Amino acid sequence: MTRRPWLLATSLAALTVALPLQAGEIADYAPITAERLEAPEDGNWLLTRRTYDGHGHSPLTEISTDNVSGLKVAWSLPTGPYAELSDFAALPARPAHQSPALVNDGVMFVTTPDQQIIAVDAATGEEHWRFRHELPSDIIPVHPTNRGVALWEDKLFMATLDAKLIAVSAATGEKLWEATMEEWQNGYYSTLAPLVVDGIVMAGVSGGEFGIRGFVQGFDANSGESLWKTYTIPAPGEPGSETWPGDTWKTGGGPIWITGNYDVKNGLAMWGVGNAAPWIGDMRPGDNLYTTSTIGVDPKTGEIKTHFQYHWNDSWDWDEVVPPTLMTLDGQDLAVRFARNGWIYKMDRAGGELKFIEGKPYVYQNVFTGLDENGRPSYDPERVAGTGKRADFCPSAWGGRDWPADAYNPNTGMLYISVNENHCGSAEGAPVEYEPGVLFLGSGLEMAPTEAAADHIGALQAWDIRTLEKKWQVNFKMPNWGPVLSTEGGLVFVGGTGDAMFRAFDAASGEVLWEHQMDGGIVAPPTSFEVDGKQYVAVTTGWGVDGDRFQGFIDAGMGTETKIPQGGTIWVFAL
Amino acid sequence: MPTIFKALLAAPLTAIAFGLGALSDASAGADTDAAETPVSSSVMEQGEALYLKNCRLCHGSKGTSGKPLAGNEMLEDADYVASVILVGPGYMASFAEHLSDDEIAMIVTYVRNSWGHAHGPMAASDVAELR
Repeated sequence: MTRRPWLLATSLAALTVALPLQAGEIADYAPITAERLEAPEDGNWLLTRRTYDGHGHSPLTEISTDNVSGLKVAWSLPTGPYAELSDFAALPARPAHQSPALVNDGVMFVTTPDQQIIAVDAATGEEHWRFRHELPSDIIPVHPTNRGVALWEDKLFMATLDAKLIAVSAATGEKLWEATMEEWQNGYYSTLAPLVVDGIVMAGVSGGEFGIRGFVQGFDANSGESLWKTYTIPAPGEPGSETWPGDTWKTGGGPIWITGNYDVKNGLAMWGVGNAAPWIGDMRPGDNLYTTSTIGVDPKTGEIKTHFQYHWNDSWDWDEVVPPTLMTLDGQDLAVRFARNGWIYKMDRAGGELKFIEGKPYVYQNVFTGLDENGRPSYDPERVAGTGKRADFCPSAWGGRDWPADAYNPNTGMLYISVNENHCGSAEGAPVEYEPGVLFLGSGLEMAPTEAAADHIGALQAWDIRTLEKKWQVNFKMPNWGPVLSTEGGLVFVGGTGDAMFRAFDAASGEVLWEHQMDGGIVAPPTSFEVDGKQYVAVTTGWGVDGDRFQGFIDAGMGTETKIPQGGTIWVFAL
Repeated sequence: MPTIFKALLAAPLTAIAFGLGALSDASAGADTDAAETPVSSSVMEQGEALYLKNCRLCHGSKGTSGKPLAGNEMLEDADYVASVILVGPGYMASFAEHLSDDEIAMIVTYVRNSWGHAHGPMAASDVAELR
């Protein structure tokens, strides 16, 4: 049996080295407090989306529409060499870098799909230390990625592909504690960055395709002690359990694999819950709460205080894992969500309760026949697959948007989002038997580009949240898998296309003002920060996982063969 | 390029990956000639071990998950099964670089003679021709 080098290179050194990989203690590390997370300094990026409300917006203005054409590489750092993820070398997908570069007073933290945390001097790119979590050799990661760390006091937290939560010293990279969320052999794994609120570290689990019972779990940041575990699927007798027949709740899916946002005013962590399992709804008749929903969780107790379900009894694998973006506009507290199902949902969140205001599609969708006054959709029965019943539907399982984050400028009320359209799916259910740790789908996964895909598939859209009107759209022939960064300099940064370009757009018009050819496709969120009065923009290349799979389906449908460079480098730009 | 590869690449790969078409009663799909060819118990044991290591995650230990193999009439065609393992259409990983001709032949033999199937063995030399 031969082995394929993992990512760009595989180094024996990386396989055998002790942890931490390199010593380089950070002096005077600035501890993270609740106050700093609630109101971060302009020059720092302390949370995955910078602020608890999920804006992905930097208030920095040095880099602007006037001068962005002069943006140049300040430094770059390869994230390899990499460890092999598994003895099982035939990974079902290329590993992807999906971690934002968090920056705390000049110290940057980035994670990698082979479960490294890399601490870097944010101004120079000089490494402080590396930590790597070693995975079991017989694990087979179906989504080999990691979406970053969470910061609290002098610690970092990472959730891993073997469903562990790990605490590491921010100053040294030394492991402080490790907690097991679930047994990975049963199909549980984690790819998300944890979320910390007041010393409670929250993380969730992936595995909706393996018939898990999803949950979000809260841990004491200092000790690693589990404080609560809230399942996304209620057990018999609990509220919502009436939406699951028989024992279907035990294997009903409901993964949480994207970091939640935190509604500071109402004290609620907003977590997105993914698809139900198996994929076909008639195998679990009912609404199947809280799958394809947002749940508002009290970080102290884990209690679900509010929820909103975007579509009931999912049969399309439209995970609704991205949390709503939270904002206050004209005095109204809002939660706005571009759902994977292709519709926008504008909700009121006053008093900690999610209430539907209005909705509309943002890409072509042919399943819903409408939303009622509570935002509950009605379906065209011809677009709902069943056991032995084939159905075609648009968009395909990858949705109008997938996991890549949108960005919101609180000063203009504009939201920017990467979407993919002109792709449709088909499904037909067949009975499936549950086996722990084995795919539990009950249908095929089919997707094909439509005729309109010849014009474009990917796009960047700009929406006025006040009016829920689209202001501009920039199309790309290729799919767009880029998380978005908005800046107060009037710019929108996004990668996400298979040509491996990193672009800056005029936030007002969508005009491309700057672009840079990268060493690989970008599916990681760009971030912006400041060190010694100088503004930087950071992004990590590393194409793989769903973006790569999606391109494979597009190529199969179009008869094309697209080669997208994989990359694997932290890039930092400045004027 | 072998014809079977061309056919695989031209077909809607999306439908091949986890598609559920072409299911039938296994006994109805048995290949009478092939079934008369003896299958060694040693090959079946090695094939089972390789299947559990490389294929169970998606297809299940009884061939009933992902794209179900149990009762799938496409298993009548050994070249097709081997080609799917080599190519890795859709969501499936390509095993061409990771499994030898011998190993693929043993997996194909195992799945074609388990769960009520009796389609006979596949030789490593036949896998080699498909590469």
